[in-house]
Amino acid sequence: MKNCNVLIGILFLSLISLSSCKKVWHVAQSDYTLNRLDSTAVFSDPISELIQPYKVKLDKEMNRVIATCPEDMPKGRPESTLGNWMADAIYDRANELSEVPIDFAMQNSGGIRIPLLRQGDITKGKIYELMPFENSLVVVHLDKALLMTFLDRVARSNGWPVSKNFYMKIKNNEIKEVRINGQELEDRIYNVALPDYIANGGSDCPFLVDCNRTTYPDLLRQMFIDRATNDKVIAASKEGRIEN
Amino acid sequence: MKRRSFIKQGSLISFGLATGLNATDLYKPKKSSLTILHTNDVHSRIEPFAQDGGRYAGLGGAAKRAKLINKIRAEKENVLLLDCGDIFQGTPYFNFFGGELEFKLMNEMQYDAATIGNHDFDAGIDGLHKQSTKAKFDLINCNYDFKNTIMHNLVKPYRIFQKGDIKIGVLGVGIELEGLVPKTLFKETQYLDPVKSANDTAKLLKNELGCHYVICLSHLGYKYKEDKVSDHTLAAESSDIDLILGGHTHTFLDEPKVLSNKQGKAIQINQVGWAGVVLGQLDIEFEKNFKNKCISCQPKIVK
Repeated sequence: MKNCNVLIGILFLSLISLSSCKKVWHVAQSDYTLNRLDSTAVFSDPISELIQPYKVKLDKEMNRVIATCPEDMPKGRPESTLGNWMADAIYDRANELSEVPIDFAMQNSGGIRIPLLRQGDITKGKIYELMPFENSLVVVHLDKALLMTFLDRVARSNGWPVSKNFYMKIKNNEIKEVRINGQELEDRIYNVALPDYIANGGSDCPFLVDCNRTTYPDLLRQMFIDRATNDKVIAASKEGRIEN
Repeated sequence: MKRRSFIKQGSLISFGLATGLNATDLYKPKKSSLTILHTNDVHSRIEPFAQDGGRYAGLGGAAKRAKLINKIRAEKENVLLLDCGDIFQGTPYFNFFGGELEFKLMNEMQYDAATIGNHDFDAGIDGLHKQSTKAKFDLINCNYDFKNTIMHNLVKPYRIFQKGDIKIGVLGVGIELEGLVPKTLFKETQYLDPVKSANDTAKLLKNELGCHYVICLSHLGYKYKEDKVSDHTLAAESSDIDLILGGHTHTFLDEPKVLSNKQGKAIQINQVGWAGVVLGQLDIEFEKNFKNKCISCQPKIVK
């Protein structure tokens, strides 16, 4: 009986050999485990020790409370309280630095790196999370046509954070109306405060790369830290700067 | 922790022999296992998120990740630890120490390979170079031409890992830098078509270098509404990639997505959000068998 089985086995093997050429490695089973590193997970001591000297240096500076935030300030489009606060901080500082008056300030939405600023104490470290990038201030000097190209880009993203003296109505990602300081656009040069990231073509703004500009070494993050430190309170309201 | 078995099929041969014949041992297919651990867009999240009532409060952190990785390594025979880019930028650790700690921790956790994300250029290509020279893992990318940059001999198009009986080819692709990263930062890095680069490299790995399994580390992004190359478009256009581990879009998936490649065969895509909140873990069982009996060429999800 055993011999018979072996014989069948050999016969089986021969059949397989005829029907295919050679054995290959292939996936027989694939399992997925989603390991969520929640608060029940255990810390590795050697790794914590490795982090410690860096953490000590940072904490001293970053855990410093610089302001309070009376209510949650979320990021959002077409307009948000967080975006308004940031854009106004850039606008005010740019106006101090610039020799020409600033028409408005804008910040790309993707450059805000936290979904919201939570109500409560705001540390310096939180502003680093809000704006981790080493983006500095650029004032671009745009004629009406180039300004419209830029605003079309902003409208396609359904609005970016913008300072208080600007109004734009967007419908289906297209501009319906623009007013700056309450005025319709004229044939003149507009001075717009932006992060260097945008002025250098970032976030799909390649048309800005060659435009006239004044650059400043001042970091946007520092403007936010200074504004928060001076005001002691971080707050803003939505006032229909960009509508859709 | 969730665990799902989503590709599973018996071998016709082992099934046939086990049920009818005693001479099974002769024909039992050889098996080999592989555990793939992966992260993406950790963004300098060295410590867990603060306990501030936020969405990710208390989640993540390198020390927790390391502990879990060690545990898995102790349990599993063959482990690969991979990252899909944007290691840098997001917490003051990067602003103050330039990515030094991020790489140090990845060395300590014994990452095998990582690909390069757009934010890994945030301290300039010089900043990336500075940390890369200290990396004990490979930086892998096949669609950035670094030949006129300081990174030219620090990035490999692919790397082959032998784990048990299995030869695994790992390649990497990155997103278009123009418009996303200032040129002053990426300098003379040339972006090449990621689909062509990935396919050519995967073909080389599978057909000429004898890899049994090909993994693409991608920082292209999971999927876009607009017409833009993504992990989904790469998957549909590929023939020799088995698994795409992705990043950039910070996409949280409950399980890997199984799609059809250019040949109509299954290809998996996965991504684990961002900030090291999740460590992805794929446990793969390989078996050596006749190609005609290779049912895994058409795997399906079993929930």
